[in-house]
Amino acid sequence: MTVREELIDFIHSCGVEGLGDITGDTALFSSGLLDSLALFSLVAWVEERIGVPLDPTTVDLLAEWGTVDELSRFVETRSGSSR
Amino acid sequence: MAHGHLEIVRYIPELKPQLLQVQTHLWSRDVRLNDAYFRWKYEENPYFREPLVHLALCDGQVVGMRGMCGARWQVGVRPETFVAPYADDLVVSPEHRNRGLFTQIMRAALDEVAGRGLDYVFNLSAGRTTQLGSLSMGWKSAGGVGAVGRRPRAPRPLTAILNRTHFLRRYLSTPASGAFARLDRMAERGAKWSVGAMSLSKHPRPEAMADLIARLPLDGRFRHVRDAAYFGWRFRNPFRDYRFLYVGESRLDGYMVLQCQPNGQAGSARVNIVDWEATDATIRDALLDAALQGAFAELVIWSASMDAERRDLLRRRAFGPIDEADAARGVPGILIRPVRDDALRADWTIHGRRLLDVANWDMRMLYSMHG
Repeated sequence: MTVREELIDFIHSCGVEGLGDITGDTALFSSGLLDSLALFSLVAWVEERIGVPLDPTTVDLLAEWGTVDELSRFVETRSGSSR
Repeated sequence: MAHGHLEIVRYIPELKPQLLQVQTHLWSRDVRLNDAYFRWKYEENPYFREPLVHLALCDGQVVGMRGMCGARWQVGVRPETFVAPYADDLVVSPEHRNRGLFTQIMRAALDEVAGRGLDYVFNLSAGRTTQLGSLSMGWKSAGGVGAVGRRPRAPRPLTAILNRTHFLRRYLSTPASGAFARLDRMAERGAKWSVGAMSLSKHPRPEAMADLIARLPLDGRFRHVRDAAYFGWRFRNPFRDYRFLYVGESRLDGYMVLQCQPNGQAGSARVNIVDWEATDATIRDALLDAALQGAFAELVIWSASMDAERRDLLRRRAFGPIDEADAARGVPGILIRPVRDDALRADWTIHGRRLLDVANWDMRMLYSMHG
């Protein structure tokens, strides 16, 4: 399973309404549908994959996590893996 | 999952009872206490005549709220003042979460702030969830606040046991109001403080405190305006207890404000130094000494923007980093956002000073709703 597929599965598991079919281009934040609690879970998911605590204030969330593909690339880069 | 017609509206007094009920998810379970807090923070705010509060309605019922509390800041050695609303009190009823309400309420609030001709909004008390929601909407952090704390020294074996058993520590530590009671008793009995003319009070002295602030040199960093109107309003927060240590008579040479949550509230064992000012280092030292005589379960202060003398003083009194897991994630921190989206990619400055440089801030817990 690729990081992107894992991420899409994870977003589905958060019970977010209204995202429709989630693809690599799906906007995570401009849609406004990921509420703060889902974001909290998302950061925990990222931390688990990269293996270290993440200070989210050091990340430009809009630019680096804006879409499913962008966040997948972030995780791959930070974890040093390119599955 | 709840469904229904959602809309975002400005606060009107007719919706207050419902709003106070929704705030039982965030503020307290006591609706009367929530009412007192809302009145203090939004209806009696010295900077906004009308509450800047937005509500999410589902089929006409309040299911969410975002407030913007008025706050007046200053910057520069010949200070320029400006109003930057303090975004706070975001709550969405559990059954309406993950439907995009956070973003919609925040958007409506920003539009109204823009309409009032203001440029930036701040948040100095976001927990991790609000922090993340804010960052996802373009907020940025100028940096953390550097919370440091001090616990009374206990014999080493006892410390080791307490550190392993949070349950025991909670019950064996001195409750915060008990610690205030100890200071109160010391004051009533005419305690010998380390400097003369020191006193402890349950009441602020807004004019005298503002007069001291006006006499102290300015370094030009961003800080809240501390005038008599501000001091007169600030300490009426019904969710907090305060004690004021003063040095001086009618004209103050120093003060320290101690704050805790009333007994029974979460975090009520912690006492915070929310403001600390003096004309010289000796008086600052004496104020800290007096506070330490309270033997609080934990005494905390934000130190990130302090000068070397104050940091050294705290180190010598065994203050050290606390809440390190949160601090590693930038909580609490100074969160900022321009009101207009077209300014998101610009360099954020006010009167030539960069907002995202923590060195440009003189940050005290007083300015935050933590205080």
